[in-house]
Formats: sequence, C-alpha cells, structure tokens
Amino acid sequence: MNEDPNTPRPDDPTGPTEPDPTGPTEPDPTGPTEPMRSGDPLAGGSPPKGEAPPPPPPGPPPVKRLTRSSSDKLVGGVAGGLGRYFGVDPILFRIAFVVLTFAGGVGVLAYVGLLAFVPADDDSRVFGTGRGANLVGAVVLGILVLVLLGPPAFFIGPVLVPLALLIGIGLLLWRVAGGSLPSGTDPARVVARGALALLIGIAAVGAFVGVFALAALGGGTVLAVLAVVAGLALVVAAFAGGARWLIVPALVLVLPLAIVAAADIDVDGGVGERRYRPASTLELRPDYRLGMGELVVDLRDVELPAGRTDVHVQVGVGHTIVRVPEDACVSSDVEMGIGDAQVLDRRSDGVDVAFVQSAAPTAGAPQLHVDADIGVGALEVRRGDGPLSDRSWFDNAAEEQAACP
Amino acid sequence: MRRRLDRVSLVAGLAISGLGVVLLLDRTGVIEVGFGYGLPALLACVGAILLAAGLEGPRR
Repeated sequence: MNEDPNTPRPDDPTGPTEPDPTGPTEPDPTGPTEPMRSGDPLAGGSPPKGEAPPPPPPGPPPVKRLTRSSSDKLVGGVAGGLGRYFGVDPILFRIAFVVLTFAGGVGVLAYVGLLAFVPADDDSRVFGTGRGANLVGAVVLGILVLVLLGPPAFFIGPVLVPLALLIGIGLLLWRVAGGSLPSGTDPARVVARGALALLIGIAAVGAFVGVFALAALGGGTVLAVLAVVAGLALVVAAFAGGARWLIVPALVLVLPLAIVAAADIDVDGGVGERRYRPASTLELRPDYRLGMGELVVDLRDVELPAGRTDVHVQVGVGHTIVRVPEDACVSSDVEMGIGDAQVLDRRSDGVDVAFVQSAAPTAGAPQLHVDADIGVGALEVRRGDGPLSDRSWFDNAAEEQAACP
Repeated sequence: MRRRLDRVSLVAGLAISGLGVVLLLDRTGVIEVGFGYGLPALLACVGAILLAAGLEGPRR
C-alpha cells in the first residue's frame, strides 16, 4: 500500500464532502502532498476537505476525423482541414493544389474531389448525405479524372503509377519485415506525410522543368523580372512578419533560369533532327539553328571560294556535327555552356567552354570559319568522307586533323 | 501590435532579388553570366538563405 503518510485521510469515504467553510487547508509543513493514485483504495472516496476533486480518469482518445475547416478556409476549407488533420501548415496543401493545377489540372480535380466527399465541420456535404447523389458525384469525378489524366494533358501521370507501386511494395516489405513505428505514431499519418512530400517534390520538379523550358524558349526576361518581384515581395513581407512560403517558389523560379542563363540555352530553333547538305555556296546558309536535338551540317560538297566563308551554328541542347570540305582551312569561335567541343584537333570540355582557333591559309586557299554557339551538348567539327554512322563521337582520327590540309 | 522582423524572409528576398537582377541583365544582354560566376552566385544565394534560417531557428 503506497499511502503517503502525509496525505490527510478523508473524513467520510462513502460520499461527497461539503467544502470546508473555513477555507483552504493549511499546507503541510513537511512538504508537498502526493496526489492520489488510481490504485489507491482511498482514491475511491470523496476528496479531503478543502481539496479539489481528482480529475476523471482519461477515456479513450477521440477518433480523428478528416473534415473541411470552416474557420481556416479560402475556398472550401479543404487545405485547412488537411492541415489540421496532418498537423502541418495548410499553406503546404494550398501550394500543392495550385502547383498541381498546372500539371494537367490534377490539383483542381483533387480539390473538387475532397470538397465533394469530405464533410465539413458541421457534417454537411456538398452532394448531400444521400448515397445516390454521392455515387453520381463519384462517377462524374472519375470520368473527369480519366479524361484529364491521360497523356499528354498530365505529363507527370505516367511517373506517378510506378512511384505509387514502389511505395506500396516498400510498405509491404516493411510490414513483412516486422517494422513498427514509435508508440503513438499513426501509420496513416506517416504514409500521408510521405505522400504529401512526394507530391510536393513531383510538383517542384514539374515546375522546375516548366520554368526551364519557358526560359529556354525565350521567356527568360519575364522570368527574371518575376524573380526580382518575388524577391522584393519577400523583403517587404519580412517587415510584416515574413512570408517564408514564398522562398521555395521563388527559388524554383530562379534556379532553372540561372542554369539557362549560365549555359545560354536557346531552344527557339525547333526540336528534332536537322540535316543540311548544301551542294554549292548558293545553298549555303549563314546561320543554322536548332533548339534541341541533333544538327548535322555537311559542307563536303561545297566548293568554297578563296577567302573566308562564315557559318554560324546555334544549338540549345544537343549534338552538333559540322563536316568541312577537304580543301578548306578551318578556323573557329566556340562558346558552349556545358559539354564537349572538338574542332578538328582542338578539344575542350566542361563548363563555360570557349575557345578561338585561327587558321593561316595560303594565298588563294579557301577558309571556313565556324562560329558555334551551343548551350548544352557536344560539338564536332571534322574533315573526312566516311559515313557518319561509321564513326563514333570524337574518335582518334578526328584528333589528328589539322586546321589546314 | 508591432510585428517582428523575419530575418530569413529578408535575407532570402535580398538574395533572390539580387540574383534576379543579375539574370535580368544577362537576359537583356547587358552582361554575360557563365557557369563560372552563375553557379557560385546561385549557391551563395541558397547558402545565405539556409544560413539565415539556421541562425534564426523555426518560427513559433
């Protein structure tokens, strides 16, 4: 019996006791009184005079329900309810919904689905409580999902299926291996948080790719202005409590733009494979451009006039091959963001590749000047008649070629 | 009630707007940013934000 000798015994253990009209009991000079434990036989009676009654024994924890928030809402309270349920800031869900909206409308579909089938705080539902109405709503939403999620409207969709399978297999293996969570951790909550993090990650990657493409297509100036505006908004918001949620979107805007700017990528010349083989100088273009892909400029059939002839090649991302006439001296001016450039016997690779190669043709001999501007990829300028498919990139034969024959 | 200055937002805003100005100058052809300068600037921007967040601690 773990009775504390300092604990005063109740006068009447059989029933409630009226509070002591004389006021609170004087504190025990020997020290603080231990509270009664639930196993103490004395605990079943009324509290001693002047003490508050013991709190009732804790019951089972209330069942946690996902409901839409009526107090924290911008549209339908879906993000507020999700944030409350998972114990995270609702702004994360709002960002995810907005970003996923640009991924083929998934964000809108998910939001409408949750709005339709998740009850509000007061148990009201958009489709009402009837089973038939909810069934019709589910069918309509299912049809919308099937229509909108098919490629190419939802380009990330095909990625989600194997990811979901991987997550499912991982969870299954984890369960088989006897994995357990720390006590008090809700497995559903852990899975939901992981799924949310995955969704946010996919959305960030999608936004990154989108901004990258937009910047490479010539929208870099607008994006740079947006980045400046976002930065200034952060500065202003810092004096009003801060807006840290804006940091990640601003970085998603700046990072791909910086890569495009540093590599000087311009994919405004189309995508695919381009092959040019002019037969004479009349067919020779001063400028050959490709946005993304493979560009082959074959000049072996061109009889170049005496003196200098300029050819400019510009490729955003990809492989560029320039084949020069046998009798031409070749000079070059190469600029490349990232990649590998080889002009006859001159080779350079890495980042910010830039070199100028001069040639000293004899009097009356033709000179071809190749001005190459490549964002990311490979450039190969070589002399020779062998078919392209017979030679690999940057083979040893090319390294032995001199600027002039 | 006077609101407290959020140093993380301030540092992030200054870094991002500064980087944005550099990128804007590059896109308009005033300067040319290569990887040699662009990558360190980018990493410095992210690093400054992380440093500010680490010194400030989580928001309450």
